[in-house]
Amino acid sequence: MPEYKDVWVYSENPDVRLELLAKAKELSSKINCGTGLVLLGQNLNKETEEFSRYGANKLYVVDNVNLKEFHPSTYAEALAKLIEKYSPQIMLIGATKKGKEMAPQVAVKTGSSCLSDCVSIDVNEDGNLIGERWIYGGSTIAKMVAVKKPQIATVPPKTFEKTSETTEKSEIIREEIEIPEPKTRIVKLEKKKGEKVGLEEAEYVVCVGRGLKQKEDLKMIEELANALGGVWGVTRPLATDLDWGITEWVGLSGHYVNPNLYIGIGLSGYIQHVAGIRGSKIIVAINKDPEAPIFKVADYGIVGDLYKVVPVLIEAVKKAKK
Amino acid sequence: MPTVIVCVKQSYEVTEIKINPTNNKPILEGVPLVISEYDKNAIEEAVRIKEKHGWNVSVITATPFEASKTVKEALAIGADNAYVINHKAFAESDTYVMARVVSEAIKKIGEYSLILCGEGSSDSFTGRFGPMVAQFLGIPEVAYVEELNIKDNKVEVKRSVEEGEETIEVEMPALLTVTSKINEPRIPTLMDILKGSKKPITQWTIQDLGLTEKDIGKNGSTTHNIDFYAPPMKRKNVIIEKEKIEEAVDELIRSLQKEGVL
Amino acid sequence: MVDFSFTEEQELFRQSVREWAQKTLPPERIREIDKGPKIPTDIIKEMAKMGLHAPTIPTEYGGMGADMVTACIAAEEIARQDITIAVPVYYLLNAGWAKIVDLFGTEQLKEELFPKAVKGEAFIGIATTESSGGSDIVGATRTVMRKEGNKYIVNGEKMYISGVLETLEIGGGFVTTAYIDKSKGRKGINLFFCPIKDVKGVTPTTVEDMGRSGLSTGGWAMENVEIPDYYLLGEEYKGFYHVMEGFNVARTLVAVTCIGAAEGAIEMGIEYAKQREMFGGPLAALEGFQFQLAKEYSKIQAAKWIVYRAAWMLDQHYQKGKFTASDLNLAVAMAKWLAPIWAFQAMVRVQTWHGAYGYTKECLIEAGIRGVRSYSVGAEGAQDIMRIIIARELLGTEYWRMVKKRQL
Repeated sequence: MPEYKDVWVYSENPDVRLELLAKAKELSSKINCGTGLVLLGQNLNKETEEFSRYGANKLYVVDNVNLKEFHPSTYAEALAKLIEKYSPQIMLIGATKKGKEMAPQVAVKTGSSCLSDCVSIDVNEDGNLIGERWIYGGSTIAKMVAVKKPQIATVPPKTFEKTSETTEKSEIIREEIEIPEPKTRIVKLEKKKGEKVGLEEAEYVVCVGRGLKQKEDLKMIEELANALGGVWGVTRPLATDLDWGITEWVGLSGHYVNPNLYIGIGLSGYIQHVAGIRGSKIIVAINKDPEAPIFKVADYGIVGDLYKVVPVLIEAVKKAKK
Repeated sequence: MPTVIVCVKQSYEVTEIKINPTNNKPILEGVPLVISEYDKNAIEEAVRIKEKHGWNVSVITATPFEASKTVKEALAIGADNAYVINHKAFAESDTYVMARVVSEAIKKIGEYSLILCGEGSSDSFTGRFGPMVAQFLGIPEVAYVEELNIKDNKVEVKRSVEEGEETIEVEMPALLTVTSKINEPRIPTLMDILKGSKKPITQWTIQDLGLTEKDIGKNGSTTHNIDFYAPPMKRKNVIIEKEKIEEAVDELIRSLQKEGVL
Repeated sequence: MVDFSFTEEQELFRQSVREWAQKTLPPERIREIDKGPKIPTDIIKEMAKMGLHAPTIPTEYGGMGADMVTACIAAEEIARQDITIAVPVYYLLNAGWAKIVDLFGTEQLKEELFPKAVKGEAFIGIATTESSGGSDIVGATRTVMRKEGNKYIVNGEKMYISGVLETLEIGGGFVTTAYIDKSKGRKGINLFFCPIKDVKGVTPTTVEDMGRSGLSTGGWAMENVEIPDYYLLGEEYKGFYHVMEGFNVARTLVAVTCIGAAEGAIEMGIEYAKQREMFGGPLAALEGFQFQLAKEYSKIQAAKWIVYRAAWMLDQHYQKGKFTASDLNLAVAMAKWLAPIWAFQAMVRVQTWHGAYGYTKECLIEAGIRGVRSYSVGAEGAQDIMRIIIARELLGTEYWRMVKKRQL
């Protein structure tokens, strides 16, 4: 059995990388070990230089032509080989879609434990990783412990504050790993366009539900989002039950938002939707039904017809923003 | 005839899970078990492949519970046959164990071109199962599939990730996890149900799969559950009541400015 | 001992119908249907797609071959969703009377009618009632028919019939009674299938009902209407007995529909009572509410199992020849007597729980009350007729006849 030590971080998303590194530093001081940051890809010189400045003790770089594009199999292979060679105790992976796809494969390849979507992580007295995650449609927290080392946990974006630059440079370890050609091929990547970009990243999110009577009224919602300088989204019933051409929603199995301000309009606040907005700093609800469950999870609420409240709110926001 | 295997999980009907207010624990007793929502999309997609290309559809489920009704439902939707692995210890087995059990069963089935499962289960939604099964079998995998087209020995899929819409071509045999966007599962008619209940169901034990008690349950699991609880949402719950909407909105704006979010 | 469980297949079917009903009949659609003149054609099509348009039609004609218990499960589930019972009644008429056409119809009629019915292109209803009444078929029937070659010529009028506009739109017809020989009384009645769409000599009318408003009610006059002889159901002169047998099937479906609607209403009531705050707590926490809930629920459950017993007995009868006509009459009459009354009472109670809101058109319960009331007034046999049947079967038909004779 190798001796497992160090807390590692991997995410293809640069922001999440720094968020997880902050947590890794905290955990490593608790269990008395170092931190490692992993970079995978092709032509990584610039990234290597940049990410050597954030205080990870070691920066592991695998620069390989077969890592040009993300394929779960090749990325998992690279990560698994690194893990086998250096035996980190803990591996934090960003719970982006790609991270969540890759992490379980790494776990099987290396025989590790894998915790998913941890909203909090810690280490217990045995030095084992403990993670908490939402289950049962966002109604319940499951607390779990990893019992086999190495221990992998995926962590959603914006769970932790980013670490900042330091003067100390990481030790750079460039690793040559033989990576087989993937059996998957990316034929096309169409960049996302339109207002749905960055629901996860937005500082202001306006969400609307079945209280909205017709598609044209979305303009009003968009206007409010624009006035706030944020984005808008919808609940799942509005996306799936109506033929409005909207395919994305906020909530379970959709987008998870973490804004400073979330405004829920004409939506009842079913647990599946609430699961996606828990990360909001302030939640505001507007609904004509005073019994709507959304008020129970809101900081501020106005009981009223959205068609009367929203236009007034748009003007008020515009004035306040001036 | 190529085979598509669908992995089906029996999941708690999450909307029926209530929280015990005295200890903040979820009450699972009496909560109905249903086919996990996204697995239903996987079954539907497999049946569409069958209808289009004449493939055979097998479903496989490993569960600590009685699975007869679940399996009959999958067969009613249009699967041709089913494999069931029952063991009480599955109740305390993690995804690693369940993926291993199912992958051993798939190895025993032998021939297959495609494996489909939901992107996650409707109760725990970890999204680990599919990628793990693919890894145990050593086959390529693509998650979050929203559209698929069979092209000879390859399958072309579309999926949506943070960066945009990807079109990916993958060699078969492959495993795909599907989202609810891929289709709308049909509701089986009485005729479908009666036909389904005549289709073959094979029962396997873990020993049939070359596994022992040590490989499953808490022994085989790499993660253990410590606790389940429902944390109360700590929110201010201020309802702004004013005669005029304008006044209520002004009050709201002031509050938001005080909170520093506006 | 007795086994009260449904089979796994029946449970799955229940789940399918529930899912279908929730998807096809959301509350706003139910309200829209309640305001309209007839069941919308897209709902009929959806029903057919799901195999719910006359599911009792045998598989050889493209039907589902549903037995009575299975047909009742669907009625219960559709009514649980649509408590106004407009769509459930449309369903049950087809389910019930298609079974009678199957039992008594000629092969030629079945081949002509059934493939269309399963596709939702033909309605199969019942038309015994006339302006003068319905329960007393022998006394109230004025419609007459005579045979001419290979067809019958019919004259008369049918009234208070469900599904007239739907039939004029999609086609189909009604299981109908007419005297072939009025002098022979109950032994002079023929039962036949009567189409009304594009039929020469048929003049339809409609009437506006108090409830079940989404399903049309009306009638039609017949002036020398020609009906092909293969449209005769069963034997000539035996129509009265055939239609009585049909009523046992239809009444069972009516009863289970009322049960389904009451179950749906009670579920609504429970949800509302948990939320409605009064005197510092939820309504549901008050014992006054709890006792009422316990009472209404228990009554509905009691009636439900009487209904399913009747359905099961009918299946045993048709599949294995078990039970006499008398056994069936008694079982069905109890079901049809209790279910509509208790369902109505439960729904009125649920309305009361809702307070003023329950009396508004915002709340579906008012439409439910209007709908279920139709069956405690008397569709498919008046309530007092049910009690007469129950008493008759208990006293014995011989004793009954003796008493009647003496009275005469």
